[in-house]
Parts: sequence; C-alpha cells; structure tokens
Amino acid sequence: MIKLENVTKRFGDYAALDDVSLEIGKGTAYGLLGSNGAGKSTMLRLIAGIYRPDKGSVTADGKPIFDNAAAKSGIFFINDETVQLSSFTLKTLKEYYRGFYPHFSEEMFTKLNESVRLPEKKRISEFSKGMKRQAAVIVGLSCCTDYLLIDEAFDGLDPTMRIIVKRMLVDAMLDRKMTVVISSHNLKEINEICDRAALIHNGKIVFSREIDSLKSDIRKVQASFPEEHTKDDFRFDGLLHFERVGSVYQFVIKGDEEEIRQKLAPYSPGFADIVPLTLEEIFIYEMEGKGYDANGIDGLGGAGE
Amino acid sequence: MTQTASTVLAAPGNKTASPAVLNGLFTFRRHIPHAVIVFLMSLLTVPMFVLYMASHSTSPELDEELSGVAVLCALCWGAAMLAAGTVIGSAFRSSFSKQYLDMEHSLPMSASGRFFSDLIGGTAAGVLPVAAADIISLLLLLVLSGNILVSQHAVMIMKVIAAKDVIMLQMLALLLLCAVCCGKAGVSRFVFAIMLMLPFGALALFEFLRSDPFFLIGVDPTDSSACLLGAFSPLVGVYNIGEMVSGYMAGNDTDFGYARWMVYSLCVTAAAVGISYLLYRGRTAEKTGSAFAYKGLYYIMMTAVCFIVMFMLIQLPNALMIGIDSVSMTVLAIISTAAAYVIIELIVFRSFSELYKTLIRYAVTAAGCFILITVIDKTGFFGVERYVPAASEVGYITLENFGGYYNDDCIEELELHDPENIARVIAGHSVQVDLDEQMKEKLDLADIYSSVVYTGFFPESSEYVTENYVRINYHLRSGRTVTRRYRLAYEALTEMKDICLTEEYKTQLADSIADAFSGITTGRRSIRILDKFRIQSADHYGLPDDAYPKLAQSLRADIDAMTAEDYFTPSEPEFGYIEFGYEYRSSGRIIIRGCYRNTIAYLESIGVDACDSFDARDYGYLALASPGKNAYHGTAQALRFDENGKLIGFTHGVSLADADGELRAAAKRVLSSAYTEYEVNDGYILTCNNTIAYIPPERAADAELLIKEGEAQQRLTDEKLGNYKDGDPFEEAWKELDGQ
Repeated sequence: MIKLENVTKRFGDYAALDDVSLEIGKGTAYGLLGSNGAGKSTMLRLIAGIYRPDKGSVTADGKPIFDNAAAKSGIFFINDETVQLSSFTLKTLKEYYRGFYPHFSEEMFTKLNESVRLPEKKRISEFSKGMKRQAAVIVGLSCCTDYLLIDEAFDGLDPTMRIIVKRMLVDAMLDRKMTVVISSHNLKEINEICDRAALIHNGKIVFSREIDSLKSDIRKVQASFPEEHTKDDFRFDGLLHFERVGSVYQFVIKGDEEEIRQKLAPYSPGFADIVPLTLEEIFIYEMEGKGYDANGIDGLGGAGE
Repeated sequence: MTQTASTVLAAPGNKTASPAVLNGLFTFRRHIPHAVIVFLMSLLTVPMFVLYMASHSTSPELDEELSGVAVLCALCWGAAMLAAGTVIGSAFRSSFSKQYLDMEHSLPMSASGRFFSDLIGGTAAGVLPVAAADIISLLLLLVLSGNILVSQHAVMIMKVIAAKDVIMLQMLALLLLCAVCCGKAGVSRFVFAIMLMLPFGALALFEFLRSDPFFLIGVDPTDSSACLLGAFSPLVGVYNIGEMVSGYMAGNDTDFGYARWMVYSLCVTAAAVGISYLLYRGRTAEKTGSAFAYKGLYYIMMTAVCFIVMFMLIQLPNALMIGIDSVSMTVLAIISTAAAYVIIELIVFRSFSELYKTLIRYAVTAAGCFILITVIDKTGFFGVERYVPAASEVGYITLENFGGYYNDDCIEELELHDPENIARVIAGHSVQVDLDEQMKEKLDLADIYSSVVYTGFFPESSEYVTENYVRINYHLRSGRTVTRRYRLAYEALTEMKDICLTEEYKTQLADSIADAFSGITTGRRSIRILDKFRIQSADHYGLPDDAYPKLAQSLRADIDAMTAEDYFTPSEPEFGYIEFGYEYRSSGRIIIRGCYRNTIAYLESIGVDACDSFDARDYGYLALASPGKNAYHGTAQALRFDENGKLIGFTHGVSLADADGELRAAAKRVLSSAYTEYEVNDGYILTCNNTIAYIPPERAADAELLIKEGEAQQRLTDEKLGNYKDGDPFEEAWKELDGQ
C-alpha cells in the first residue's frame, strides 16, 4: 500500500501539495484527477521517490520511499515526457531497466511488444510520440513492479493503441495484482480503467473515492416546474450546478436518486429525469464548485442564472 | 522487493550486477563516442609534444617551424579536454533536465550509488582513454625512438604528461562541482568559466591589496600563488606548465613548485569531489531547472567577478596615465562592480523584477568584502604580519635576492645554517616588522592612494632602500616553511649586512659565480663590460679558453679577501660589471668592485678595460636627492615626506638630453664619483637607470645644481601641459624647497 501522510511539498512560496493524506491500496487502479498545476505530477514524483516531502511521509508497504532503493525497486514511474528515452533503442532500454528491476520479465516484454510491434533496434528518437509512449509502457510493465505510476498515461496514443495499452494495464492488474496510479486529463480512460480516483485542487484532495460510488452519489437532473424559479429558490445541500433553458431546469445534485427526489419534492416538479454523471462531468461540476469553472469556454456551463 | 541497491541483483540473461555498477557501465557506454575522441586526441598529443621537445634540443634553429607542432599539440590536448569535459555535464544530466531527473531518480538506487556510478562511469570515459593513450604513446615512442625517452628530456616529458592528466582530473572535479551546484547546463558552464578565472580574481584581489603597501606587509600571497592558484584552476595549471616547459626549453630550470602543485591539485580535486558528493546528497530534485541549486557558489563567483572588475578598473588609470583621487576611484569602483553584479544577475536569472534584491545582495557582498579586508588589515591577518620565528624554531634559512642589495646578483638564493647568520636574519626581520608598523601608523589612506596612483611607487620604511625585494624563507624544524618578502629598510639591512662577511656567504657567492661560468659549455665565449649604471658597454669576444675558470679563480680569491670596508665603505668606485655568456646571449652579471684587484688585473691582461667615459648625454635622466629620514627613492623620482611622514612632493629628475656645458660637466663629475654601494650618512642619493648610487658630499655643489635644474624643468613641463591648473598641490613643498 502506498501511503501519504500529511504531506506538504512546496516550491518556493507555492504549495504544490498542502497537508495531503492519501492511501492507495494494493491491486488498485487509482486515477489522479485535477486541473493543470493541481499537484498530480508532484504527487506521482513523491511516490516515485524523486521528491522529498517537506513535511509528512510517503511510504510504500510501510517503507519510506525517498532515497530508499529497496522501496523504489517496487515502483516504476513513467513520466509525461519521452525525450529522455531518445538515446536508447528499445533493446538497450530493456537492457538498461532489466538491471535495475529484479523481477524484469523478458517473456512479458516479448509478449507485450508482439502486440504493438515496435522495432527493437531502431533508436527511440526516431519513434513517433505514441510509439515512444508505448515503449515506455512496455518496459514499465515488463519490470513487473508492484506499483506502476503513469503521468498522462494516454498522451499521444491513437485510439487503437489506447485500447491496447489499456488492455495491457488491465491484464497486469489482473495477473499480478499490480497497483496502477494514473494521472490523466482524459477522464474517459480513467473512468474505464480505474476503480478509485482522487481529485486534487490547489494542492488539496477534494475527494478520494471509488469511482462507482462517486458516480452513484452525484446525479444530473432535468426537471420542469409549474412555477418559475431562480437558483436562490433551491436552498438544499449538495447542489453543485444550476442551469435553466426555457422551462427546463438542469441540476447537478449530490445524493442518490431517492434523496434527490425528496429534495425536489417541495417544488412539485412536473417531471424529473435523474441520470448518473460521467466522471468528466463530475470533474467539471466539482471543480466548478471549487471556483474552477469553464466560463467563457463554449458549451461548458456558466450559462445558468 | 526486499533487495537494496547494494544487493547484488540477479538479472535475467545470466548477468549479475548491482544497480550502481550497471548505472556506471551505462554511463560509460553512453559516452563511448566522447571516449573515442579523447583517446584519439590524446594519442596525438604526447608524440607531438615529445617531437617538439626532442627537435628543439637537436635542431633549435627549427624552433619557428616547429611552433606549428606545438600549436597542433595544444589544440589536440584542448580537444581531448573539451571532449572529456562534456562527459561530466552529460553524466550528471539529471541536474539540468527534469526528464532525466524523472528517469534516473526514480530508479531503485540510493543517491550515493547514483552519484558515484555516474561519476565513475563518466570520469572513466574521460580518463581511461587518456591513460591508454599515454601508455600507448610512450610504448610506441620507446620502441620507435627509445633514445628520446631516455634522453635528458625524459623527466620533463614525464612531468608534463603527469601534469596534463592531473589538470584533466582537476577540470572534471570542478565541472562536477558546477554540475551539482547549478540547475541549468548553460549556467553550469558559465560558472565553470568564472571558476577558471577565480584564481585570477584572487590574484586581482592580491594585486589590489598590494597596491596598498601597508596591507599585510611582507606577507605576499603570490609567493605560493603559482602552485596554490594552479591547484584551484586548470587554466592557471596550464599556464604554469606552459611556463615550465618554455623555461626548460630556454635553458632555465623554471620550477614553479611542480611537486607541491601536484599535491595541492590532487587535494583540491579530491576536495571538490567530496564537497560535490555532500552537496549532491543534500540537493533537492526540484532545483533541476533553476539556475542555482546552491547559492553559495553563486555568491563566491559574484564576489570574484567584482574583484576582477575592480582590478581592471584600478589598472586603467595607470595604463592610461590618468591621475585619479581616492574618492573618485572608490566611487568608480562601486559603480562598475555594481554594474557588473547587476548584469550577471540579469544574465543568470533573466529578470528585472527583483533588481532591488540584486542591489541589496551587491551591497551585502561589497560590505562583506570590505569588512573582511578591514579585519585582516587591522589584525595583521590575525598576527601573521608580525610573526617572526624564534631562533630555536628555525632549522635553516634561505634568503632570496639578498645578494642583490650588494650587487651580488649571481647568488640568487643564499642558504644559511650558521646560527649567527640565522640570528642576524631574525634581528633584521624584527626591525623591519617594527619599522613597518610605525610607518603604517603614520600614514593615512589618502597618502597611500595618492602616492600609488601618481607614482606607482610607495616607500615601505623609514630609510632609503633599493627596489630590491628580499624573500626570507624560514625552514622550521617542524617541517613548515614561513616565507616573507620585504623591501628592506636600511635599519633592517644594518642588522643583516654582516652576513656578507661570513664564510657561508662568501663561499656560496664564489660557488655561484663558478657555477655560472661552468654552465657555459658551448659557443664563442664572450664578456661584455658595463659601467656601474649599466648604460655604456663594450663587447669582448674570442676570450682564451681558460678565461672563465681563471676569472672564477681570481674572483674567489678577491671575494675571500673582502673586508667590511670593501663592502660597505669602499675607497674606490666600482670597475664596472661584466656580463658573460656565449655568442650573443648573456648568462649572468657580476660586479667588479674596486677592491677586486686580482680580477681587474686579469681582465686587463686579456684586454678588457673599464667603461668610464661618462658622457652625460648618454645618461639621459638623473634624479638626485639629499639623503636623510625623509628621502625615499623610486624609479626616477624621489618622494619627499615631511617629518610626520606625510607626502609633500617629489624631487624631480633632470633631463640631460639638451643640457648645456656646465650642467653636463656637473653631471659627469657626479656620475664619476658615484658609488653604487655605500652606507650613507651624508652626501646625496642618485637614481640613474634604476640604479641607486651614493654621491659623496664633496660633490654637493654639482648635486644641488642638478636638483634645481630638475625642479625648473618640471615646472616648465607642468606649465606646458597645463598641469595643476587648479593650483599646485605641492606648492607649499616647493616654497619650502626654494627657501632651503
């Protein structure tokens, strides 16, 4: 289990993570969500043992990670860049990492590469962005570590490759109970792969929950009422979003279907269509609730009264 | 997952290696192209150097043609150094690039393992090819031309090869330090360049401080600067080696302290690696990408830059012959160093936004430097300035240039073991220290600056002295060496002068003359006879084969017979000087005193007569002054001080170029009667061609005539040039002189 306890990481005056605590259980697929600069990459680098926390502790299976080779040998970090791989060929990259990770699996490497067919002897600098990403994932998975950290996991991959890479990750999780921590802006993929997610904003954890429970706990409602209302009329807890288009009212409200119906009952809705949110919608509405909305960007809310 | 980095990991493919070893191997492998360049360039360097050395000794007439080989050799070595130098920045690339930081710092390795494996892997790519090339070159040379390596040059060749390798190690260590302290590759290279210049900055500081002759009198940091500064900068090391080689090839055994430099350099290299390791351990990953991971290095660098700028500035008025007062100089120094400071900060941090912080930093740096220098000055470097070893501590003493005070230039280094002579040196040193302290208290800073800036000269003690610096090296029984350097005051010299009369001195003087003669084994032997001011000369070639041994023999007899009177109050002026050597080259100069009867007789017997026509016009420019407590002598001017030691003016020299008959006659009489060595209680002091001579009081009328004429000429010059438009600062002094 990876555990962050009261971790603070500052860059000068700026707190990238501020007193954050988080637990990532073994065998979990954990998604890190957050706006740009929220602290996701910083958190991954803390878990990878690259950064030393200013306060608090970061441990893997109870062992501190920073400057601890034993703890790090169970963690593989794929960052959001691939420039550093340029001087390698896939073969030399494999040789390089094979020496560092005691459980590196040649067999898995071969098997994974069969599915993407990357040239082993060509310099990685000559690869496309997506191919470089695939190379990093293949090597990362072949290291057979307990924890795989991927920053911007699907950046640069075409739709087919996304499916292949997702399948690789899922297989590894199922086969070896590997823990994957993914930071991505592509919430659809997180939604598909991860069973838990944490939303980070301004260096703080907004929530950290199972995605299913998250989705079941927040709903989008389309309703109509016999009388006209403004946002101020709906004074109940959990209202994340309000929008009115003609006589149709749209809400995003925390709670299960029954709770939401009870909250709206006093306003005698003509009809109320309650549907679950996608993870992307949850992200947008949660962030809106934190004052990080998409005002000015077409089609992304902000039109409500 | 319980293994640690030090655990030997069993990797598939039947390979067993610890992560650190593996990382080191990969680092080395990554730099194989660099290593190939280093190897090839090094392989060319050594043979070219050997070829140059060997050709120089066998065919010196080809020197000019061979200079191309020397340049090529230097270029090859430079290319090897450059290729090796880039390895360190590349091996520690995670210091500069976040991508490499992510990749390398997330690997299961401790910081120590990563540091040493990167260091060893990178350094190996730079050093192993050099070592291999050295060995191969030497083996090839041994097989193909063995006589070169067993020739007289063998030691020098080996010294240079070892030196170049040590310089490379030094460079790699400093590059490592820069890589660890900086977060950007460009900044790291910039800092390294500044670091190369740091010793020059230190020299600039020493020079600046030495322009104040009362700052740490006698303690001369440049005494050990060649080897000490060379140990801190590969560039100074290269310069020192270059000097050593060119000196060797010119026939001089120029030793700048090679062995000490090697030891210091290796110590500095080891220290740089050790410090780098500690800093690396403490360095936080987030510093990658920022200009400096450690600001300390930056501030040291900036301080050095300030001093370099200040040094250049101080040289400027002298170079342009501009007089500048101390206040203007200080203001100029502050403005220029502040400008340099701000410009570098802007280059490094690329922002104007915190200019006020930069200025505060500059102010703190400048104030810090000022306080440090003041503390050092006021405490005499915490007692070092006044320290004179006790006789019981001293094993023996070497005195450098002491013979120069008595025109015995041949004896460059005098080794004193006689306890009486040791006591004389200690007594003289103690007197000098006391006198210097009294003088230091008398004079204020304005005097120091004005005298330095206007004249480039400043007196150091209370009596007239020559410009000769004597260096006293106390070799203590503890093994330590204490070195001091003084322009000795008359009083100090008085304590030490009897050294000249001792067996120890006379033997070494005669030996050094005999050695100098015996060193001339080739070419047509010659003697040039010079007058006592070394202006007129006559050459004599085709001397008998036994001329030098006979001269040495007669000189030894004359030196043995010398009395105190002969040395200090001679009754006959000097015969002159002889320069001896072969062809057109001079190998040394010896004074022929009036009392050297055997030598003069021998010289006359082989047709070498004294030059004593003294045509005043040949002597161009004379400076005369009355001796006494307030007269001091520099180049062609004598500074005049009042009773309190305050500068009141100069005794200006007289130009004899257009002198009339009366003046010429007076000058001739003065020159003829001059003694270049004499103890003076009365009479006049004459400075001519940088030689200080004594004019006996019988020539007072002539001397006064020359002094008045000198002042008149100076006033005329001042009027023509429009000097002192705002009033002559020495007007009162002139009036006083006129009244005398």
